[in-house]
Amino acid sequence: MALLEVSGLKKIYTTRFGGAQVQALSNVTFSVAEGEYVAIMGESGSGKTTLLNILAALDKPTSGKVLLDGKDITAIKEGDLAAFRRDRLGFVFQDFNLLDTFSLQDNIFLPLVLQGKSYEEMSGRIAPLARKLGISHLLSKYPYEVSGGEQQRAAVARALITNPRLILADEPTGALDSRATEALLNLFGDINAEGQTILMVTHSVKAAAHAGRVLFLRDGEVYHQLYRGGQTVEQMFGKISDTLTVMTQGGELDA
Amino acid sequence: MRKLSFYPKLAARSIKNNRQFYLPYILTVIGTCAAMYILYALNFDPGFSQLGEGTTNGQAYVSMFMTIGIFLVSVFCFIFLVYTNSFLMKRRTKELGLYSVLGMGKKNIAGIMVFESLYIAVIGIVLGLALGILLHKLMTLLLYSLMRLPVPFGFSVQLPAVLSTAMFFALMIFLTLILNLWRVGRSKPVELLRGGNVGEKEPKINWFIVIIGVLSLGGGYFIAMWTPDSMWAIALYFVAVFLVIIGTYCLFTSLSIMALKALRKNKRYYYKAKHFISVSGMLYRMKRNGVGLANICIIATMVMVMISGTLSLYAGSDEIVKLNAPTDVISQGRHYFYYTMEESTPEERELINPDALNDYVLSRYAEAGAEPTSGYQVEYLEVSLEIPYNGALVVSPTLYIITADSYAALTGEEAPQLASGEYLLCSGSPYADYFTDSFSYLISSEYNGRDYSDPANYEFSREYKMAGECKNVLNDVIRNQTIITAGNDAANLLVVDGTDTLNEIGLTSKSGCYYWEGRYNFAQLSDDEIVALVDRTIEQPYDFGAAGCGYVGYFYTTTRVSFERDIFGFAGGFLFLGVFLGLVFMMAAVLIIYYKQVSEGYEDQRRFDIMRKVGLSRREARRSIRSQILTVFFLPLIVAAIHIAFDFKLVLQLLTLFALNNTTLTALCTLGTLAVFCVIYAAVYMLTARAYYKIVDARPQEARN
Repeated sequence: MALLEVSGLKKIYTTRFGGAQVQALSNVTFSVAEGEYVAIMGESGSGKTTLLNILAALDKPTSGKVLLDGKDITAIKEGDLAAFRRDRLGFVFQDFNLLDTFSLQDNIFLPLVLQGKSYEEMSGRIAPLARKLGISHLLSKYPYEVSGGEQQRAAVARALITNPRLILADEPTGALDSRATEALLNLFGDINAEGQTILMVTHSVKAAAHAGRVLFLRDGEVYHQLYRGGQTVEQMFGKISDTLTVMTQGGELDA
Repeated sequence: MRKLSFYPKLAARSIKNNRQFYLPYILTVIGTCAAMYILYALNFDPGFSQLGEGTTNGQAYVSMFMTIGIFLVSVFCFIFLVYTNSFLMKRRTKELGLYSVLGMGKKNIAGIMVFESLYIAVIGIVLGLALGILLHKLMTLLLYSLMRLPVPFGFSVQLPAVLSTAMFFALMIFLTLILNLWRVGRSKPVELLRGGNVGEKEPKINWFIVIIGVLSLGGGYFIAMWTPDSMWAIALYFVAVFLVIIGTYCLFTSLSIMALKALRKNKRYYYKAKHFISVSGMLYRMKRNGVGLANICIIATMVMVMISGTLSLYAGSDEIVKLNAPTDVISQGRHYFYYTMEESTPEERELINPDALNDYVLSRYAEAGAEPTSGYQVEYLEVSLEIPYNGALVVSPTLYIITADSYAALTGEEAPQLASGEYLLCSGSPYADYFTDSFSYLISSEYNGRDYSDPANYEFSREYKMAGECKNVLNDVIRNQTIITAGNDAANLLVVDGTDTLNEIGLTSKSGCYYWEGRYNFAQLSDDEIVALVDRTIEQPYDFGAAGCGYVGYFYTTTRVSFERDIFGFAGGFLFLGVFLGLVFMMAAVLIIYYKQVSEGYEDQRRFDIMRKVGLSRREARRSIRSQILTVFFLPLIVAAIHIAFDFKLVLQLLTLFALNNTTLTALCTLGTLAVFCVIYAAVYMLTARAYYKIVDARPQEARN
């Protein structure tokens, strides 16, 4: 059974005074198997962020279903949503979203604290994780004292520490320089190799080229998808670029 | 060249868009402006000069209190407007930065700011004056009734007050404008655009400040606990206040950080969902918050001390009148003993004959047209003696000696039976030891002209023997109805057989004064008639010698009415000022709290948004916000309450200066003030907390786009 199943997802926004309606997602259907590393690509306005918000249970679809482990997350009650998010999902954001008021360690602890875990358990979990991510020596620092790449690694640690079923990453390399981007993508690859399911939304061909599968979103629908199979990152990069070119031309034809 | 309407339009829009910050600011200008107008108008009120037959000080008190009030409100307005203005400007740096990035020069921005200030000045001053003029009548009624003066009719707008107030606020707003222009002139557009979003360093504990804080606060509290009497209290009060203020600032900024860091060290406590967010949040902004909280704490303390003190005095005034003016009229005659015998004439050495003096004074009242319905005489001696004590010669603190008959008249007890040379002791003073069992004293050198450089020449008085202790200790009645200086705890009181003994001691003492008082009631006369009666008795000079009364060195008559009007003029004016300033300061505290909540709301918005994404439920968020706000909000109030507890003894001692000696009453007034303040504070909390929630709890959908 697939870990995540999305079927017939539709989202229509109504502007504040009930005037124009904007269709962000028209009909999105796809599934993600356990242990997969999926990238979702698309231009601005293609519905990427809306899709991610619905998957994160931060927003509700107009119609359609999202099943995580066979459970419909659109049907979860408001009061249980927060617990659902912190127990099942891990988030990595473009601008890291670390809290300035906490040291890196406390930022990483945040979801565990919200779960009500004891300090002993938390410190037991963080040590191996920090070692793996190479931030052991930075744990007592504050976000504004470390580089962007280090902040993002701390954010990844925060996402991983709850052992989530699914990591949702929203443009994780968007605010990083090329070296830090490379390091982060390698890190994602390693994590995925250990069995962690990752769903990443991105603009970046380079980032998408690291994924096992790439979904292309256009006008609120899944337009195309690419499987890596046995290809290298470079080969994947070329294929994604070609697809994007075709998509752009097609877009022009449609218009 | 742009059209002339460009700046006014932009300025109006800017105020409208920032109304969340400008509205409270403008309301403050309106409020302080109204307060200022009222103070000026009361000060200039011509009504007070024609007021109060029999009061000498009514107008003087009003004028004095209003002058103090105007001064305090002026200083306060200045500090406060500058403070709120700087807050406003900080919130607006981004907007101004955007203007300059969009191609406006500093001159253009200055143009907008000039018009903004103009709008604020016009709106604030016009509405403020209107409010002030409306409330003026109400405040006049309040003040007059507090001072127990007949309420005047009519309603007037005081033009000089309008002008003074308008000019003062125009100047204030002009000053803040200059300050803002200077600030913009110095800044670079990019800096303006970035605004306040710079990561703050974690606050460090500054041990130096902790030590200074502990020492100052400890010192202030020590003074408050230590002061033995009212004289020390008045001398050290402002020192104590100063130390406590310093201590409060230091401790709020440093100790709070220390406490929070200690909490963070405690892992079991810290890593709980509820504490985790609030402790770190408070720690993060405590440095800046510390000053704000200390401000609130000090203002709260000030307001409560002012109101509770003036309220106690006012509430105790009836008692003060009853104690100090036990009858409608008191005539007092004095015979001083500390004249040098060589220089005084034989006439001046004639002792007062109390009964003759009483008859003479009564005859003067009869001539003036009224006889008292009841009355009595009181005689006492105020004296300083040199007493052999433990092998040395000590000068006793001022000693009061009254006759047995006077004691009976004052206390309502039977007159004690005493032989000549016997006395009763009213103890209660630390110096009572000098007079237990018996005493004699050194006869003054001035009395017999001896050379006292050689102790062999010392001559002592006869031995006075203690016959017992008074049933009444040195209580309020005796203390206030004799002239024992208010708050003089060192005084002792003896009761002796009669006038002759008073004179015997007076004549041989180092220095002393004999007092005679005739106390009369005129139940048949109204207050004004009594004042008129006394005026008629003093139309003709008294000739005591001719009437066989002896030599009266000083003679005067007081009425209860004038005393009452005096006391209420003072206490009423004082209470009015206390409440009035209390309200003005309170307004400031409310505004500080509001701005604090709103600005923190905007800072916390992002934090809570992130936490919500990571899995913080709305309920948990609310709970953690509440615990944080509650702590921050009620910490100043709790500290203020502690300050007041320590201050209580000082206030009691200061109140004895006004002859008020009622601990229960003062305690009730203080507790009442505290309770009312807490209620108002809690209401303000709920209102501003709601503003905070609204900002922080903004739906993610709204925040997103």
